[in-house]
Amino acid sequence: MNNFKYQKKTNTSDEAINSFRDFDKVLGKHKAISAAYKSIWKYIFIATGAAGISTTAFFLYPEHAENNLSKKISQITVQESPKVSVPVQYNEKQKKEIVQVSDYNNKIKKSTSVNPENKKKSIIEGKTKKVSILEPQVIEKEIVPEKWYTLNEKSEKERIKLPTLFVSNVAWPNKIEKAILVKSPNIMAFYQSINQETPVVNGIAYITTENATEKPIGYKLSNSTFPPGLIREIHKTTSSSILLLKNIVLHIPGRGRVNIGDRKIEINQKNKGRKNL
Amino acid sequence: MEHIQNKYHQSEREIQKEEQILRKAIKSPGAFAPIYKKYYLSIFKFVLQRVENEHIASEIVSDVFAKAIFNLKKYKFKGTPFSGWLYRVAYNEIVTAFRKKQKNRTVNIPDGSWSFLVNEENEKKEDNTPSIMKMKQCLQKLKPNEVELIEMRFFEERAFKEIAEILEITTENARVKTHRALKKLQKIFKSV
Repeated sequence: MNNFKYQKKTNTSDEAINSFRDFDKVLGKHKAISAAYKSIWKYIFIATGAAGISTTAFFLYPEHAENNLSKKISQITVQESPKVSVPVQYNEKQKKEIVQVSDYNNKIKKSTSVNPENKKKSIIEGKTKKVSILEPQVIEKEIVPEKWYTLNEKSEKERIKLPTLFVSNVAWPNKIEKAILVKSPNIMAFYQSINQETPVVNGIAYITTENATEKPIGYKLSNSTFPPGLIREIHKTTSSSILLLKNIVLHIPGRGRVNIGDRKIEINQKNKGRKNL
Repeated sequence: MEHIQNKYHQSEREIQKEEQILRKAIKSPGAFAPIYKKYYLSIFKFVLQRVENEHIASEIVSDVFAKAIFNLKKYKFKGTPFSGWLYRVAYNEIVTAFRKKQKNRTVNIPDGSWSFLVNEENEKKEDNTPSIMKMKQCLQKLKPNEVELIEMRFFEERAFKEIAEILEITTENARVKTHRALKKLQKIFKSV
């Protein structure tokens, strides 16, 4: 079956057909078609060129491209987090820019200081001179995801008053080799003024990385030795790992429980044993 | 098939002359004018057979020639007349036009076009001439491609080689398909 329309037509004379003949019309249509195709090719060339340049740039400067990519990725992740509006601090130049004088012919002798916190101010000067100050725009800044932890380490001056903290028998360490940490996984404090060891009664230990955004599992420190889970985590560490000790609480005789803050210790993965082999 | 007109066939000199004009027309479209003049009438008639009126046909025909000039680079000279390629362009243009307008294609049934059915069956009788209504009924039962073959071969009296070129099939295939379509039409014709 077909849906063709069947009909019997009267024969059209050749003269009638020739009356429709117009070669200029054909040439005009041809021009229109070729112009349309040319514009399409233009766009294709531009798009291909742009793609080629970006590809070569990617191969020539891979680090830069990777940085851009990581920035983009971080931006994408930021979009998911709730937006926080942060008022931007204005410097003197910016303040001057914000001030807009409605009538430029009137000279203003008095200098005005603008407090960006005030939303709108109008200063009447002389008789009727009015200076309108635009509201300082509150720019919404998207906060880049930060580290999951905040470090509250005691300064060296403060440390003098405190018992000396030993991690793997190293005093106030900044770096510890993994082998040493594995060999003697302990934490203790020694109070010189009374010549006595003070026990660590509380604190949480984490194995994490420098710019980690997700909080790892924490291991509670209740005595001088590390819990088995923490030791297992130490075994898994890489060169970028850090041992983070949060809220270390000591029992200082005569003063009771004292929080000596946090401690960040980098784990150095030099394996001396292997080198010897 | 003595009644088939020999419109398609041309002398070798004519074909070569045509080729020279086409080569020129690739660089300057204005050189296409002699070809336009030569084939305008036949292409117009081909289109007019398939559309409702002359105005629609004239629009399609100008599109056909414009596209033919634009795609002239793609044309490969095979020693056959240029008309074959031009008909193919026209055929595709008609299909596109009907698809765009979402209308059904028109088939023109000329006077005495059913004689091929009678002749084939050797039943030539004066009273046996089928009416146009019966013809429509029979053709409606065929597939669209079968109607196209019948239309080209018997209504427009085209050579198999030309049909093959328009439909982009081999000459033998065109012959076989047309024969099958004719047999089917005869069967339907007897049953109606």
